[in-house]
Amino acid sequence: MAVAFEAHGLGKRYRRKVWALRDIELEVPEGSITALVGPNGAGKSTLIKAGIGFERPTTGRLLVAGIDPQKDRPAAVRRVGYVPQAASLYRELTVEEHVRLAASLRSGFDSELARLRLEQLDIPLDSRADELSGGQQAQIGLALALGTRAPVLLLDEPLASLDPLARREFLHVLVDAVGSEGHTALLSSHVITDIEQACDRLLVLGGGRKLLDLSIAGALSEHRVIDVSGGMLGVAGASVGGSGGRTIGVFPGPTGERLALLATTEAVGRPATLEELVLGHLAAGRPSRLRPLDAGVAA
Amino acid sequence: MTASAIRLSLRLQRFEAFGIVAASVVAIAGALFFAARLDALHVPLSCFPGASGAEPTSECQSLLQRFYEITEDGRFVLFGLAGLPFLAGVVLGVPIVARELERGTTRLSWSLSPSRRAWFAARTLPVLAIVFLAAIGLALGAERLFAARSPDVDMSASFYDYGFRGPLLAARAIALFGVAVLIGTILGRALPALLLSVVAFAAVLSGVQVAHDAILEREAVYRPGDLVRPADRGLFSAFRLADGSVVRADWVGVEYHDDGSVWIGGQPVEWLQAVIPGERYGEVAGREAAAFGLIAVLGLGAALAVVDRRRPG
Repeated sequence: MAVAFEAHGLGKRYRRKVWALRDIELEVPEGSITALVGPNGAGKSTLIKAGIGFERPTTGRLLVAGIDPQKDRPAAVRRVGYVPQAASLYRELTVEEHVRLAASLRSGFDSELARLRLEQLDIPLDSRADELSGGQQAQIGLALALGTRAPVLLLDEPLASLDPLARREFLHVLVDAVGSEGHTALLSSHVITDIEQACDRLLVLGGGRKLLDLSIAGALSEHRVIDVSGGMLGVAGASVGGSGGRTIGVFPGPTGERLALLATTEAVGRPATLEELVLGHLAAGRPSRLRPLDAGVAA
Repeated sequence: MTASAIRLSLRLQRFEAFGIVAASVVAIAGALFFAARLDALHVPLSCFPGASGAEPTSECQSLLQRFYEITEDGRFVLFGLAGLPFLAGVVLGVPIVARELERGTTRLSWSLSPSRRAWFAARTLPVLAIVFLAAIGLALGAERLFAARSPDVDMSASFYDYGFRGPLLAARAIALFGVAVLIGTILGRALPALLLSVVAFAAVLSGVQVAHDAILEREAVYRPGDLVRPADRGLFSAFRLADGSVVRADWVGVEYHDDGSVWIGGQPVEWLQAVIPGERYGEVAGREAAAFGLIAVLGLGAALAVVDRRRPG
């Protein structure tokens, strides 16, 4: 398996002595779209920014297409197309001027590809960036990243401020581009429901640590959910059934019930949704928020 | 650096750039206009006070009255000529990096540009060229107007209006540009950087002045106090003692006698002025301009180092 983005013992501590990332080990295979999920402060943005050399790791190392951004930032940047959290466009410039600016900054920038993507979305090239909607601005950011023809795309919560339709359109363009151009994408997001359709891998961060790193299909097939609010209480880490399954974490359901995420392939409870899978692992990553539970787990 | 990159770079600061260029053109045109009006009077040098010691003729008085009226009318142009270079330096220098950091556009541009140095050069050099051209134009305009206002003075051999004309004025403005870019890059916020740049440059200006004066004091020549020429740059007063040695006036206690003589320690002494002769104006101004040029280079170099290391905001 060729790896496009990898971290080994990666840690980042800020001046306030807070570890944003700790002991991160991960390998993102080439050609995949990996969803990077976690709550605020989980370290998603820090990980992505480290990939383009905007953050310096405190420990360990990170390689983008085999390049360490700390050792050779120009080479790493050449291999990355980056879409920042906010669109970060120049409000004085038109869309066309953004394309020209990108071409002047990045040798080999494919202006025609960027224009084509924008025209397909009916984004007028002669409009100023500040006249466009948030969704259109995000699409410009993506079109510029795709125009770099970089093998690795790092997308730092580009969906955060988009409405559902704009999110779908954004992800459609991303999936289409990855499929046709062979990019590898790492997409951080809070919006779990949308990424299920677009991504093939899931990386969950919590408290700066990696909580889960699996293919989405594999993760869904290996996790189930049971309702533990009716006296069937679960304990994180407790064994489940007779095949070595265990309780990952307990989290609140949409109507106040208490749900337990189980790591098991046995037919207990019901299959977990992607959102429940993430919530269960995040709950496990934050044990201090769990109420002490005192009984065994239903098998 | 492509023409497209230069055009886009200037477009990001088009309001400030247009304002500075337009104001500079007006000020330079004003300088040339008033200088031409003064020249057109053809006031004989003998008419100027002190030229001959004789009472000016009525024709001279009439010409001088008109001359001073025009000089007075053009006074506001001098404020523009002296102030605009500094305004150009600070107003165009601060936002180059600070505004990009403030608005988060560095996240886009630094992710696209493999070399932040190339990005910095593409952003800074076109704006620096505008500051340079505006400052040079204004400095030469000031030189021209000052020369027209003082036709009895050879401005190339005189410390008249030192620092407010010629290449030294332009060099000071470019130094302020370098300081402003650096402070904007460090702070990453335009308005605080603007204010701090003004304060910091005032300190730099004073520091250079003090350092240069210290050098000039070692190079000074002594002239009898009553023979100092207006074109010379006076540094300090001194006295020659009876034994031929010279002491600075501020180091000794003196007695002033009714006949105008000065005594120290019961003996008459000669009053001197330590001066830099006006003939050395070009060399002295050039040296100080070089110092400000160096400050500009250091400021831009330090800003580049900060850009290379800092987060994109």
